[in-house]
Amino acid sequence: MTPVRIAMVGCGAIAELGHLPGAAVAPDVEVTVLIDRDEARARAMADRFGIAHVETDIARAADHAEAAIVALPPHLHRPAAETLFAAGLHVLMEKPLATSVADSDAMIAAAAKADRVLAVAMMRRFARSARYLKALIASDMLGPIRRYHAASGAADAWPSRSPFTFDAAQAGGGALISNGCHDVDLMLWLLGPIDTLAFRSDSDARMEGNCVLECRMRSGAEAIIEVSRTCTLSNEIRIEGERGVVIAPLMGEAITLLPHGASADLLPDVAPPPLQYAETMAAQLADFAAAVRGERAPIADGGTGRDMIALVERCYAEAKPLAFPWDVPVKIAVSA
Amino acid sequence: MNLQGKTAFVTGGSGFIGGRLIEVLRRQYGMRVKALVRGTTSAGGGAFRAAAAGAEIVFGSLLDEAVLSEALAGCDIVFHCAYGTHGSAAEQRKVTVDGTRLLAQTAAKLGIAHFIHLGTVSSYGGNTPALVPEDFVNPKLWAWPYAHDKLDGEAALAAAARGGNMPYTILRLGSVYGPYGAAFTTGPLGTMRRARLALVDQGEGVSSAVYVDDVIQAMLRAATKDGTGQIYMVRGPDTVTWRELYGAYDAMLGLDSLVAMTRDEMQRVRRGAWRKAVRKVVPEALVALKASPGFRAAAGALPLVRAGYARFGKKLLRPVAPVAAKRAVAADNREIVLVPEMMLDYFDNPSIFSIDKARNELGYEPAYSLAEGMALTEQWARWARLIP
Repeated sequence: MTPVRIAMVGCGAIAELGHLPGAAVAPDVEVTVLIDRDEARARAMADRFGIAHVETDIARAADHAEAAIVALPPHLHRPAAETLFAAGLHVLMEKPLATSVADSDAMIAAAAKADRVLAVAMMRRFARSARYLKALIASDMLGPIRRYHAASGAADAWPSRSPFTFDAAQAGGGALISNGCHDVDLMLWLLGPIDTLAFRSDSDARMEGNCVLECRMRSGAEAIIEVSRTCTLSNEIRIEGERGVVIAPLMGEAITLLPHGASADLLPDVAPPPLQYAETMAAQLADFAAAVRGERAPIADGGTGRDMIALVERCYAEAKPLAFPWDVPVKIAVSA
Repeated sequence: MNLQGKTAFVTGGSGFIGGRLIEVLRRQYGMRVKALVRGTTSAGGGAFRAAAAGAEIVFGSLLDEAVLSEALAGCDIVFHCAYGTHGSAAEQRKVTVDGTRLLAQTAAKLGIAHFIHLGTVSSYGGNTPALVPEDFVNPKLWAWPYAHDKLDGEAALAAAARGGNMPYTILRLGSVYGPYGAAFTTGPLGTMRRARLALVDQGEGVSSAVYVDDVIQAMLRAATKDGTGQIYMVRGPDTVTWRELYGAYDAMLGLDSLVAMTRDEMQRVRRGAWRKAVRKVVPEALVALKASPGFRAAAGALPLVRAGYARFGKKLLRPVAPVAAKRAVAADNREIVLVPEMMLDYFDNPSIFSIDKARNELGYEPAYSLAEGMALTEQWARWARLIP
């Protein structure tokens, strides 16, 4: 099968660390051109990943490719998508799909008008752990799900090449949309739609470092998602069903299942296998390639991305302050 | 200076103390805050913390005059929390000393009304009197580069401020702990989760522990006074030993991780570790060298020791526990981690640093006992999953 020829638009950290290593081990795609306004950066990456062409103008994408991965700051997603769809390319858009529902709708409309695929990079869905969770819940092995708790936090620096994540206008917000969108997506994918929600944030300007989303799902399950970009949290999901508990990494190769009545002593005291990151990214590209070939819809399409942005907008609109018990006003004691 | 409505420039804005200061300046004083952060590729949790509090993040180096000039324009006050933490000792010193000088010179040029500088009580060196007064000058400082660099940074500030007629104040801090603290909070907590921690001479040295919000109180009080170039010491209300400070973390973790060792015992452990490491790596080094295609060509010119060190240096430096400590507090086979040798004097120091001057002139009154500060720290540490 001829690989889908891909233009990589944007040569920042996720292209370098995620998409290009994934493409290198994905037989379904071939990255034929790197596009970045920083030509030297694009050329260095092209040399490193063995990619033939480099461009600085997105309008040249169609000269080399039939589809594109867009990994630009989120405020540039809509104009990039509209340009690419107009040129007849399919698009895998890095998360979040856009910075607003309005932009999401415009991108979905542009894709429909051009009859092209719009997929959104919810790459955690391609991790084995997420697949196991999906299968486990679909099988009803756990029984009705009562509680869902995801703690998602990383204090380590992400080697971003621009400061867009510090600008709500460019990023669309803070920890919730930049980091938590994966956690929200997994929750919606696994548990279905939300009934009611409460959102608390430590920022009054959509630049939250920490936030907590509490939801009651239509299924009746209670879900909590904690997101931090100031602290490294457990980075685990714990799901309690009527018949057992499952604990999974946010993205990994294995899950731990404890049916009620089973002893935790039976669990092996060995570290789980490390995440096969490039292979996970490759699985996402394989899914995109299948959609481009018309075999099936992508696992996360424009509608998926839009639903997530709608939820994020609702969270920001209804945000309440997140008050940590240790974050008390500084006591200015009276001097003796 | 009345801080309300003013604009502050905070260096080390992504750091522990700078981060907390920014939260307080924004929330309690409604100040505009610009925070200096080294670069986008190194901007982690601390920078996001500052951004969440509403600081404007300025990416750049303390050694870049253009960045500093632009950022300082329109500012009223500077809180200088940054110091060199990355790279070689020389690179760190450059940031701590030259960076402070450049910042002070630039701030003076732009008419900054007050420059608050953070120093360290470790700059007083060892063999200090039982009660160290603020103006104590020690002819013999420790061989700890950080302590030297911070002192030289203070001198650079003083010269630049006097030359530019800029008000300034220096606060020499004890061992600051609290949420997001690295050296005296996440560091020991992380170590004690996985290993035993050896404290020198029963851990009876005085830690000069101070909860971060007391440091912020001192900074705010200093900021509201005239900056007359005074030096103040800042520590908590109690005399807290290292055993008490780290014992609080032990209690949080529900472990018994502290091991008391004498300097001689520590020295024996270090020697034992060295011998064991050498016995392990020398055969490996020889195999690796033989396998190296460049080795034969380089062998004539490159000293063997240097080649071996370059290949295996990290292993050699990793402490191991070849002998059980004599006074280990529990039957526990975890690795024993030793305090770095150059910091032993700091951990062994019985002196109490006077805060009388800060009390009398700034009105500083530490508000957090060890128990109160640790209670807040524990709440944060549980949320940050540092405590299982």
